[in-house]
Amino acid sequence: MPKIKREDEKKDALQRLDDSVKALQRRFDEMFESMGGLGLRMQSLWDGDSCCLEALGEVQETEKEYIVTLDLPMVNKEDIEIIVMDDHLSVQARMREEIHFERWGTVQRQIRFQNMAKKVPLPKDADSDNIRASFREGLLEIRIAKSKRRKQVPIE
Amino acid sequence: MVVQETLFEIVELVEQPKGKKHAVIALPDAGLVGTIAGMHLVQALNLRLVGYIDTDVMPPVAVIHNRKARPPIQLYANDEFLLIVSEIPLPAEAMRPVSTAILQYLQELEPKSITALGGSALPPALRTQIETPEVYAVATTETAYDRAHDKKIKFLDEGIVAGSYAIILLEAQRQKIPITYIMAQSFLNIPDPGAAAETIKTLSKLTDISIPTDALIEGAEEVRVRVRDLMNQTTTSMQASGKAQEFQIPAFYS
Repeated sequence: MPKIKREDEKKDALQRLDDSVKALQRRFDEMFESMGGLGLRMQSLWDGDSCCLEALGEVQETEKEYIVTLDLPMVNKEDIEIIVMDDHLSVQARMREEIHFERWGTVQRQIRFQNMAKKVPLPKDADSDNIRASFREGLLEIRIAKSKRRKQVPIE
Repeated sequence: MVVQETLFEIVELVEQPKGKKHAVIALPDAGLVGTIAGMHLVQALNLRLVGYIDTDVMPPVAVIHNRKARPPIQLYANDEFLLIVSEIPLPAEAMRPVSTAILQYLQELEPKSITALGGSALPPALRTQIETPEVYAVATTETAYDRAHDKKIKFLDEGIVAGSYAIILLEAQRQKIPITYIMAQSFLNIPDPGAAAETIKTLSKLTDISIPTDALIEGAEEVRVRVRDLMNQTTTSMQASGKAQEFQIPAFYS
């Protein structure tokens, strides 16, 4: 199972990770809103400065949990880091070899990628103490349990 | 041959003989199954660019290859196959005219067979558990049905097909054009070379022509990196065309 680290254990790493992920900040927030269509809309999926690609993904909601599936091709399990933040998960992975494109799009320069990252917002009912992950054939599956906390509202 | 209508133009750079080839339609769709299969066919069968389809309703996009600008819907061929592929997702408003153009062209070409390749999206946690995706067929005529039935291919008995393939199927059925649509269980928004390989194996069965898929399976992870942007754009297009409806069971399920 890939490492799942807690926020207080990795403050520095979080800062670095957040800086990198910020450049890739996308509309993943829409993910849970558009759950019905399982659609994850994103715009630019790469950042040449940080050599980072944004991972594609899908989300599935069941009665008990959210299942996030992220596409992390060319990545080994031990090179994935999942960090639980207050309101989101940060996933960062190092690819086992660089992918380079000689003449990338309109910038027409050589560009290399060796990292993949994704920021996954946690829904309000997510139980951040109950998150599991597994990885197989380049696909990271993160299961986020739904909180069982319930509060009954009295009728006056 | 140039077929011209108000909304589209089909240009053959190399004239295609009538009745000689198996036609394959590979459009961006769930898991980019058709597109990945099409890319693989070009390499595995050494297909050459022989033409393109242009239409007013596609976005103003030209694809530049070897310094030449081409419309994104292209025709590739060898002596046995004619492949119709799109390098960009079809916007919802372009699906009908493009489908009409493809069907009109194929009707004139009278190919030996027509097969469309695509994905049938599963919830991701389910797709992850499946080693070898199942393949299902939808046939537009009795001839197309027999063709798949004779090769013992399973049919989609109940379900929903959304997007450009839905238009192609309905229109082909109306015009009695025999098309066998092959759909493999796939992801929706994650490129799925494994599903693409299964559609190719089925195409191979249908045409009795051997098409190797080893390179596609071995290079699957690299393919997934390289088609990410197209997958992302296709996700947006599929949202507009209601592709997620394929998860649903039809109301009049029998």
